[in-house]
Amino acid sequence: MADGVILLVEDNPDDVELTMRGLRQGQIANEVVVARDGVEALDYLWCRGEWSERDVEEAPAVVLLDIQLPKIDGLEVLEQIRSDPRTRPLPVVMLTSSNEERDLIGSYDLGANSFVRKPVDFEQFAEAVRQLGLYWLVINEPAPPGGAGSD
Amino acid sequence: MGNAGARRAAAREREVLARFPAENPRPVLRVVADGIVNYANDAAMALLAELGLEVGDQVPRSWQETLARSPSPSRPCAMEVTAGDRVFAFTCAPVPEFGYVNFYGMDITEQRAAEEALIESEQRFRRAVANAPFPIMLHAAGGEVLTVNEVWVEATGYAAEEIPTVGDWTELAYDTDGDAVAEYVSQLHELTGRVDEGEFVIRTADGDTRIWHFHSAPIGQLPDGRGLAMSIAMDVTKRRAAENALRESEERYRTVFENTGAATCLIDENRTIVLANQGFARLVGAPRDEIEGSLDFTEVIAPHEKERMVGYHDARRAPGREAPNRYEFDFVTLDGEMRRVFLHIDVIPGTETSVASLVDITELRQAQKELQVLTEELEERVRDRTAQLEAANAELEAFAYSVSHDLRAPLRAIDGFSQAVVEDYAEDLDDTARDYLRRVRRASQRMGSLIDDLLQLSRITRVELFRDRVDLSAMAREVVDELRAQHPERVVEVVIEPDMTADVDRRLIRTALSNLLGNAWKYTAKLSEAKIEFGSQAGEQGRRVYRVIDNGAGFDMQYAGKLFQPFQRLHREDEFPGTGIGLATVRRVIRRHGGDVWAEGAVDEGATFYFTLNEA
Repeated sequence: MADGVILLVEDNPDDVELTMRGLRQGQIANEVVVARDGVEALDYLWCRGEWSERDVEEAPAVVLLDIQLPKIDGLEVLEQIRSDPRTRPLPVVMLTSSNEERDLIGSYDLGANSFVRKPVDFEQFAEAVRQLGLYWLVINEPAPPGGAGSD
Repeated sequence: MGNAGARRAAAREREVLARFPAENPRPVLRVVADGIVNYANDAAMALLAELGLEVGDQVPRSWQETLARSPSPSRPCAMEVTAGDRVFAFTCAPVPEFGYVNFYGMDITEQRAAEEALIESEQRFRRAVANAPFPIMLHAAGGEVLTVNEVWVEATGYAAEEIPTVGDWTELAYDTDGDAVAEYVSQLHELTGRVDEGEFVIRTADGDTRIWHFHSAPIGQLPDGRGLAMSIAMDVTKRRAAENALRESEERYRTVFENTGAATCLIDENRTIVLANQGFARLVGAPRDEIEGSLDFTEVIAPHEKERMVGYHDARRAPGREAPNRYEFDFVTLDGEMRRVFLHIDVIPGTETSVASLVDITELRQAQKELQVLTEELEERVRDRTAQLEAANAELEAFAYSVSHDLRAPLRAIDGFSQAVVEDYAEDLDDTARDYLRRVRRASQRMGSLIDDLLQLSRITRVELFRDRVDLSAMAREVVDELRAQHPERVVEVVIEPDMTADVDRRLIRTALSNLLGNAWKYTAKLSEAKIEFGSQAGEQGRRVYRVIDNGAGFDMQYAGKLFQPFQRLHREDEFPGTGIGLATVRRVIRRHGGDVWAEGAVDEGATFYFTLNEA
């Protein structure tokens, strides 16, 4: 299992807790960094503000990105991630309550790797989180640091 | 003077001259027995010389024949003698007591020439009458017909013998006005000049009618003193027919002119209106007799139009120039009222006069303007409404979006933390507490389903319709396959009519089919021999009617109206779970396709759902 950080971008503390619980139940022990809004998420990724000391080369293993966020919403965060060569190769999973088509299409248009709808039923939710972790942290081979997309 | 008087005067003259023959300028000679001339005066001597005779010679044989008719003093006889280029009339007067005969001559050369000329003239007249190319009748006072010429007989078919009198003629040839003609003819003989009798309808022998125009004139007296008159006829049948045709034609054109439905007038090259119909008079606001021949067309043109239209007027009559034939202009009545008029004008070929038709379109234009204003208002309102609708739609969309996010997140928390409590504090909870938490979770999940279904229902109204050729049979098979995968324990016989295709929105129709087949699947759940059928039948106006039939729980037709209302359910949740939104969603999908959906059923006897699709 990759030991990279999971960046969870989520403003709802309940959802943060449930996601953490889902990850725990899925036996996923990777460090989870929580960003409460879009600005915080970009600060982390680009090592700005609170995260200015962080090494930009240490990219998270996966970003779980909620769409509805204060300040900068999830789609815009995704757009910014993809517009910067340093963050362009990051696997980004859109994790949202929405099943609105425009969100789905918008996410894939902007280069999301996955789109997962958070179900109301916790058991289903926990299963979705577990499978996400399994796929992105175990099965998926991430881009090498400074490799593809860092042009 | 009578003939008897004339004869007496001549005898007296002879008597006087007999006494002085030598002084008589007319030839006098005396013939004795055996026809010997024994005396001749100077004039007679000249005459004899002309004949190669002299006194003492015997008179020519013809003289002797006259003498041989043994005239007597009471019965003198006459003879004519031609000597050279002169003609003499001689009267032979025997004087028995002296045994000789006196011959008294008179030079009648000029008289004879005049008589011959008269005869010639009369013959010419007769020929003229006879050969005239038009009918002529000569008739005497009292009614006797003296002559009808050849043309008359040919034209009427009545022989001269059939019309001995004017009365016979009028009886034959006139129907009703015969009496008037007879009276006219009788008056004719008292007139002195030519008379135009006028026209009469003549009936010919073979029943035809002709129109004859008569001229008559008294032309003197007959030897018996009766007045003589000549009537000349002219056959005007053809001319009258042509004139009638022309008149009828003119009347027709006049009628057309009056009834064009437009105000029509003729305008001469000086812009004077020479002829106007009633409609034009009404438009102008003056009687026709004040318009025709006096009104200048420019007087009824609004000032700002005059220059343009006078230009047209001149151009229309100028070689090589043109002017529009149809246009609108501002017309001014004589009362000064402005009217909008449509004009159609053209120069009559071969003339300088134009014919103009005017239609008052003031009201039409006004109505059009009002319509325009109304249309603009309507468009404005449509724009407003559209904007409002778009705003409402945007609001609805924002609401739906917000519902989708914000309503579900708390539910997830309720469900998730309830589960967390059950999992993490299981030993602290008794059965009742666990049951309550289970109920909390079930309620939040049900609310999640409700939210999802509601969102789907609202999405069906909001999304744009994309029609495409869709194989409904194949789509139904996919839906059934999914149902079988979800409920592998169920045994359901499903019959799907093959090759049903329609031009529909693939995704929306999929939602509808999923709901209908899903309902059929759900409401047959308690049957061991469940059967579902999807097929179609011919409907009205060539429309296909699709149907989904099941043999399941069915429903009471009394509540059929509630089936398609959102949140309306005919079964309890613990019997057949559901949100009551599925059929409302089906109806929206079908309605968006321009079709209709309805249901038939009975409790425990299954249900049939019918729907149509307006396949463009």
